[in-house]
Amino acid sequence: MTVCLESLGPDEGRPYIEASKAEHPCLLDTGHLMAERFGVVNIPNCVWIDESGQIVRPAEPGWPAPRDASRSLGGDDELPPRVADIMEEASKIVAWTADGYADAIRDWARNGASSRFVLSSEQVLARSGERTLKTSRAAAHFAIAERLETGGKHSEAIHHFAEAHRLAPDNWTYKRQAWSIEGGVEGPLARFWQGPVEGREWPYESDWLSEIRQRGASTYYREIEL
Amino acid sequence: MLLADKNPTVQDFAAATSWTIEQRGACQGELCVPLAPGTLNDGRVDLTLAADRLGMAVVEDADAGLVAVGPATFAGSALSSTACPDLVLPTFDGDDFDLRSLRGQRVVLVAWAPY
Repeated sequence: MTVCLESLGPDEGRPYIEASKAEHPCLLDTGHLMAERFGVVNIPNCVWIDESGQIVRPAEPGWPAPRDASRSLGGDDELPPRVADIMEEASKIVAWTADGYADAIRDWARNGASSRFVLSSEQVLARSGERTLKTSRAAAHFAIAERLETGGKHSEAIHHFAEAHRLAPDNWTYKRQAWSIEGGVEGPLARFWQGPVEGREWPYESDWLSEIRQRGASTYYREIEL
Repeated sequence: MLLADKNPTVQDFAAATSWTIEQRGACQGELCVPLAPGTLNDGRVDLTLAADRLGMAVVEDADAGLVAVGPATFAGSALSSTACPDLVLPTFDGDDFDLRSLRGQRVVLVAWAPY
């Protein structure tokens, strides 16, 4: 099943759901409740839950080998320089589980608890990510930001989004959600621009391109082992 | 998650945090954390006391009239136990879907976003 973390409501994610002709449950999470409860700090992420409701693999970047995202964003058209730069950085992102993640899921589907990819309770908790009072405070600020944003109080929401970013610097989802709301160029690239546009004030201290250059693309997803 | 105020009902607190407040403590599945005396009064939760014991941050925006509570941190990790947290969210068709309805099956939960 899928959970779409999107504060702007169903219309943003719906085209993707329809294009995929999904037969599994497709849920919408405007408040990022799932991310808070399962420890998701960047997307896409997967969590494995067994028949009895026990988590056997916590949130992790389970996604296939990197693909040429420029094709889905801009086709063969020439990309704006910022998007070309974004694509260059994105190509350096490491998909720690790229090799074999789908096979690991198939193995679990076949073998259940005896699959070698099922983790012990200790491993599940240890791999679920650190949580501190600071990151808890970030989540509370994000919740307020989301309510203000969906209530039409965009300028009031920005302070709380920024606080969430400051308190939980490793949480890319908080940043990507807020930055993508600002928009950028018109068209299909708008949500992926996530940074300043000439002639418009940018309300955040950082943006996707600056941030990934500063932190390093290899840190974009938490390093894990299958 | 958001709460109406700092003295929510047990039901509202559970919906916001996935922790149920009972006489024996704050519980999530088999895990129960003892609470300070006075936390539970007539079906309402003293948010400050409960949040302090569970290591939850409370943020208030008085101008907006909003109170939010962050997730529990006493365990030091995002998951306090391997028990799957409760999760009820709408589908894209607008119907509520309860993750519990998939008990008995293996589930891969995929988080994604269009940005």
